[in-house]
Amino acid sequence: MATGQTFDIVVVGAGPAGLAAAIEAAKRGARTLVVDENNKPGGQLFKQIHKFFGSHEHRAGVRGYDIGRQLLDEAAKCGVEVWLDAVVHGLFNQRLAVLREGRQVTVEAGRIILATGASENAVAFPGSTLPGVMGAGAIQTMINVHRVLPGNRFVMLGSGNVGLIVCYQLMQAGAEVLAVVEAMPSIGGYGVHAAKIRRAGVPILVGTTISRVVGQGKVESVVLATLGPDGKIDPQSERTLAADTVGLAVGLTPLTELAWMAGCEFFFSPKLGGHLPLHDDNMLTSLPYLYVAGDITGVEEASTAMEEGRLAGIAAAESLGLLAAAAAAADKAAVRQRIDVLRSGPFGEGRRLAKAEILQQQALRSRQGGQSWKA
Amino acid sequence: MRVEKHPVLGDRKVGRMVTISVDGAEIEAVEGEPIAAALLAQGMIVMRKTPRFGEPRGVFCGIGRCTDCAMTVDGVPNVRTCVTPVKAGMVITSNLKGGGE
Amino acid sequence: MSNKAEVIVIGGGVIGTSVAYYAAKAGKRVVLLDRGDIAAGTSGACDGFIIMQSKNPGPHLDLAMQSAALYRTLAAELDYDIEYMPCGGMIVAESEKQAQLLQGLIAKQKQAGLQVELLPIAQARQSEPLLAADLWGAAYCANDAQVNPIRLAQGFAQAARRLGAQIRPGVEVQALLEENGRVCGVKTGQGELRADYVVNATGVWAPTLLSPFGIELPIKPRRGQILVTEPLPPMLNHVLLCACYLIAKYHPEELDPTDRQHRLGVGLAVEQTAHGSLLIGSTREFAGFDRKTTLAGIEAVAQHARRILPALAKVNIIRTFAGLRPHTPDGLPILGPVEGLPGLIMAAGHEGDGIALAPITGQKVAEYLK
Repeated sequence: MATGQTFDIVVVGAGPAGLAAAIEAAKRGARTLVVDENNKPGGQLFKQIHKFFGSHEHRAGVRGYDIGRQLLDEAAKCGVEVWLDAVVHGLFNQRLAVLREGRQVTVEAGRIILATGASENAVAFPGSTLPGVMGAGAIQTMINVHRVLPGNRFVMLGSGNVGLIVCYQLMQAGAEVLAVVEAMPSIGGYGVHAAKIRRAGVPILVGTTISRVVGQGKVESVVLATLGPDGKIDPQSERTLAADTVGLAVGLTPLTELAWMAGCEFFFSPKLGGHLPLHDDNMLTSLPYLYVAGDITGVEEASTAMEEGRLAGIAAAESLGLLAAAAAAADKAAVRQRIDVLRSGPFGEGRRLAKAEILQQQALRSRQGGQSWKA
Repeated sequence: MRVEKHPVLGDRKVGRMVTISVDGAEIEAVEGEPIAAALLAQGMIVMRKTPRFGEPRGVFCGIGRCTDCAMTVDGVPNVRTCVTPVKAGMVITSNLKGGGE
Repeated sequence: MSNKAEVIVIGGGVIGTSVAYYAAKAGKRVVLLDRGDIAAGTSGACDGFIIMQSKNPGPHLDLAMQSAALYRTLAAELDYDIEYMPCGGMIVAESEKQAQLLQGLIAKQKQAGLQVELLPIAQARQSEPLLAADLWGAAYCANDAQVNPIRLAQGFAQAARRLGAQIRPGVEVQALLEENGRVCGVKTGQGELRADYVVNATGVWAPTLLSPFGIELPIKPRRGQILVTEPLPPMLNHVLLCACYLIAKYHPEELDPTDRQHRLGVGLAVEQTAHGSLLIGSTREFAGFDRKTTLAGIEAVAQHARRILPALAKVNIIRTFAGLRPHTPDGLPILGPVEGLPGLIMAAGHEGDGIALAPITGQKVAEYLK
């Protein structure tokens, strides 16, 4: 077994949060490594072909894949080392076990930043395992990155931003979208995204769900049904669409395995996607060497993930004594201000409150003297 | 089906085309794209069958987590085709009998 | 909850659920309590060996053989697929010295009625072709088998429930209740519950409930780390142990403390589950109640597995986990009434034999509940 490499900071995950964290840390003099299991960096940015919202600092008007390229260029300029096709399969305190291109290596880290992201949720209904039922993110990767349409006639389950955006991008790629189906009584995502697909004639059916998918060995049709006031399917309302592919856009769950393995404290936040590592406003977990950033800390979006990454990168570098407290405070304040902007407005408010709850909980447990907190 | 023209991304840049074998059939694929993408481009959407009940499975998560798209590649079982790049001459077999082979 | 039962079983592992089943079958009103869930502790973090030839002749082997007989019809009796496979087992000897150790044990086992054969490696490889060619050989016993411990506990629990037992996960027993020198029930997070008998089947956690009575049970947690591979086509025909396991178990003085494999008590235990994954174990370490895996432990197990089965070098590990085995100084479980504390029945301390001995433990303990 190859051993013995040491870095000031090791970041797990080369998506927006991880790359942003590594750039901030490296800029401040930390010898920084980013490890990612994929053979391309950038996380999910490279399938985002829509323009981002927000202010100039948040690169509004820039498309996701361009942001990804900018991050990679910047990381290279700051001397960040990036290992791809490298799976971190174990955290043993400050030692990471990595399977790099099929070989086992260990890496010692002064600080570890987990930016592992999230994975799409599945939902079960009769026929949900048939080939042709896919995650919306999987569809998006296929059409935008690999330029392959996995089907011809689509039904999308879920009207959050992911569902709406992927429907629009499916149409851009030349597919037919028969309907967006939403169990809740109203559309989940931004009005501007919903308007785009409605203008193209795609119905968004609220209060409706997929009651089953039918087909011999693959999706051949999709049966929709209206939900009654009791939340149950009304069998009278069933109607069939001749779709060959179903996209599931029903939320994401943070990828927290390494955080569990490290043994940091967790908190349950339904709003942010489930069990999350508890962290303070420096993105530090209950373990003194372990930071988190991006969707692992609660599912939000790429702009916030990058800002959280920056915060973690600065804080981790500070904790290693690489910058003075005053400089760190100023840098972190600027990032926090930008995060507050991202979490404002009718769509950001819920996330802001859920995040505030995490910080409150952390402060509470810290006061109660959780043994490990900042030990 | 390949997305040849795109209003944002422009025309598809054709990479090096190679031939791979899937359950005995020779298909054209782009070198370096995931095996699953090459199969989907041909309309091949069933990647394997479950060992116990023989139910068909295809690409689901597309990021290497769910293992529904696992196939046998050059004799190695359980290869996640959605994250494994195509190389010229690969021999790929589905697990259509169920089980790990 | 109804506050009077005939029997309270504490612990929802293979032992507790087996006791609940056999007691319910004997007509008792049974309540099983577990602070977590069925098979959430040791029984959900172990392999599924039902191995006869690792047992010392005497009560240990006798119990195991009776248990093996119960296993043959258990799935039908419980009406549940416990993934029981009467595949036979091999204990691999790396060297002449290990073979001699096995030879000594085999001679005694034969007298006790267990048929075990010592096969030179060429012969062993005829029925287990993936064994390394430079091993000495293996002891083979047709009576060895395997089962899925999680399904076993579920099968017992569901069958017990059908017989009227209450299975109550999520109820933590805080203390035993005592009246006039007799254990008469338990105090739980959800109130008190009374019964004629209380069975302590809490494995490594069993001593806690007895220490308030001045009784120190000699059960210590011994950690076992296990690797799980991707599902594979059938590649093993038997459950496999190696002689190191027996040395660690019966002759710890023979271990070399400067050798990592020995220090961690690594003895190979490999089985292929019904699903196709291999379970590859295991370390045997005293590490308190720490259920984390360690890099050293995982590496030592993997290295040893490759020594015995070189083909495993090409196999992907998809998971690792660790469980705590209830170790006792004499290697035997603590079964039956506790002197000075009537009303309490012990069923704990099986270490690595819990799976093999689960059915017979349940049946024997049920006999105490008259």
